[in-house]
Amino acid sequence: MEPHNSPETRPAPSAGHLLVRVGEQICAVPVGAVRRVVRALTVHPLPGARAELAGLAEFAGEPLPVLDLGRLIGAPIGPHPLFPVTVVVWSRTADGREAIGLAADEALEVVDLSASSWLPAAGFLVGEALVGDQVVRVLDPDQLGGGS
Amino acid sequence: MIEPKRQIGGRTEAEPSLAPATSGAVALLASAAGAGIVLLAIGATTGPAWPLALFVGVAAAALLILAGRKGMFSGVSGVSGVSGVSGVAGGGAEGVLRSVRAEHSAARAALRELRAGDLVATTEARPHLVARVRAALATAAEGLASLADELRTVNGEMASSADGVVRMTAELASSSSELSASVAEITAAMEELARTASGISESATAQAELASRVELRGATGEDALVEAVGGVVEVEARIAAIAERTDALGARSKEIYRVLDLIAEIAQETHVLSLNAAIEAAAAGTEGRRIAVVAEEVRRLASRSRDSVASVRALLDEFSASIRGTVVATEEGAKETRRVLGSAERAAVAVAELRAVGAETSARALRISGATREQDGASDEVVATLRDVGYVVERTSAALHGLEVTQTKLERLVLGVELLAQGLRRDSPTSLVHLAAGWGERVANGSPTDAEHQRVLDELLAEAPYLDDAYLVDAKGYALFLGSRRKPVEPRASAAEGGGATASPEAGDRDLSARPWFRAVVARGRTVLTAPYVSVNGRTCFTVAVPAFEPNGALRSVFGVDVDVHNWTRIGAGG
Repeated sequence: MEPHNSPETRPAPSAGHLLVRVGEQICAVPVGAVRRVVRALTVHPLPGARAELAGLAEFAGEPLPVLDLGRLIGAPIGPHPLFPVTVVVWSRTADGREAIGLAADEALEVVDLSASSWLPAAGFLVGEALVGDQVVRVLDPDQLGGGS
Repeated sequence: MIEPKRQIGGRTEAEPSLAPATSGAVALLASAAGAGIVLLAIGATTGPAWPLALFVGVAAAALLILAGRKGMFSGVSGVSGVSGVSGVAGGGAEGVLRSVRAEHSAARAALRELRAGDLVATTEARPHLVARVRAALATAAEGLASLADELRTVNGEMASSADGVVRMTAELASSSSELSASVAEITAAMEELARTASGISESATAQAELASRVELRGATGEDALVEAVGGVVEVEARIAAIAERTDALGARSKEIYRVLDLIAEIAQETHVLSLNAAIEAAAAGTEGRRIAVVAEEVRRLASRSRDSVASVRALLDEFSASIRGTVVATEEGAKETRRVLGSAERAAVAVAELRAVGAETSARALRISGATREQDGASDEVVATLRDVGYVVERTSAALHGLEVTQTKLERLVLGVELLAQGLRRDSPTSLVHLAAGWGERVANGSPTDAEHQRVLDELLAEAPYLDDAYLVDAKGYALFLGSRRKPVEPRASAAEGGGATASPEAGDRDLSARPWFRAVVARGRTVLTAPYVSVNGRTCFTVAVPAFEPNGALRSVFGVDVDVHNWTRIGAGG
């Protein structure tokens, strides 16, 4: 488990975000919370776990819980993923932070979300923003941890 | 004493009674009788019967001379030569002369009958005639009758032979006619055959030329087909090469797909790498901005690479689809080529067979043409030969016609000889004159009534089937009774008894005085036998007419019969 760089800083709505596609939805993850984007890791499902928990993967020699982002946000199934990815994000916990894998269909690009397009939301969704004419749902990785 | 005698078939002669003593002059007359008979026979004969009279006279004279040599007249000579001389010396010259005259008269009468050919009357009893003379006359009559019989026998054989020749000639003529017709038919058939053969020859020649052209065309077609087959084989080889190259192209396409997959993967890896770099640059704050710019550029390149790979993949998909279509088309083309090749090979075989058949047909047609040409020539020869045969048949027909003329003459000759023999009255059922004399006596004397007369005539016709008519006419030639086998031309009421064979002629028909036979009987006072003539029904006939005399020698009636020559020679002559 890597140490939390700045646990008290919450990414500003206008900071850079990594856009990923999940089904027909596009989500934005704050770049500061992203540890690494890798090709989709091999996931070993955990019996009896929640449906959102795809399973455990191995990353950097450590077990990595991987969440099914599509199920998590209830996104409809989109085009067949040509290059699925696992986005490793930091999620702050009570005793520090932990790495969590988010299984997405595609990692698109890093963008800056403008404040004007920001719409507030609740839970692990910070809000929604417009990128061009596309609605992007902004995640809050800290809400994905064991505390959420 | 002179006793008149009614006689049918001969003149009633006043015959002197036998003289008590024979005259001495008889010996002289007797010695001169041999020569006198001839002179009498010739001298008392006129008209067309003189050959018969000459024949009868010569025969009688010869027989009398022969009898004298054999001593037949020895009694006469004894009476005349020795006793006669003593008689003359004892009885007187007048008695002798009377006796001699009576004997001479009897001899003359007998010789007259002999001359007339009446052999029956010749041998009739004459009291004044010396027995040996009577015997000599009987011998002469018998010899003549025998001669006539032999003559008739020979004549009958000749007639039979003539009939045979006639039949054979008729058959030959019929055969000749049939042969001529057959020859004409065969000639026509052969000429038709020759024409047909000529037509066949021309057709066969034309067929041979046609078959030869077929053979030539077949050869050309065979060459073309061989060339076509070669072309198709070449096409097949090229299609196979195309298929091979297409397969190689497909294999290369798969390699390109693998390379594209690799490029796409690299692009994705680069893309992720650029994202991670951007994330790291963001983490670095302001110091990482330059890195973020580079990372963005790298991400763009990666994105372009992915887009390019997608474009290339799309193009490659189209290319692969084209290759697959090419492969399918090539396979179909190969199949079609193989089918065309099979058809072309079969066509080549068929053309080769057609060519062979054409050659064989040409050869056979030429042989047929030659054979029919030979047949044509042979037909001409046969036609020429048949024309020769026809000429021979025509000559045969002409010769047969000449033979028919000869046969007609022969038949006339036979009839003439028969009538010559019938000129002698013989005591025989084959002597018409003798038969007619008997019939005339039956008609004239045996019938007290007219009905009986007619019945007798009808009976005669029934008995003698060779008689056409029988009639009895009075001294003026008026028909008293008529019987006819021929049916009357127009039916007339028959008043007479005796059935349909009789007819009652009109008054005009009953005057028969102009008939030749009646005039001959009146002129000669004897039985006559006419020359043959053609009757009204087209048959050859002759008439036998027998006179009957009153006691005073005047003609009382004439009985006549018409004899059908054909029926007589067929029926009567055989009896």
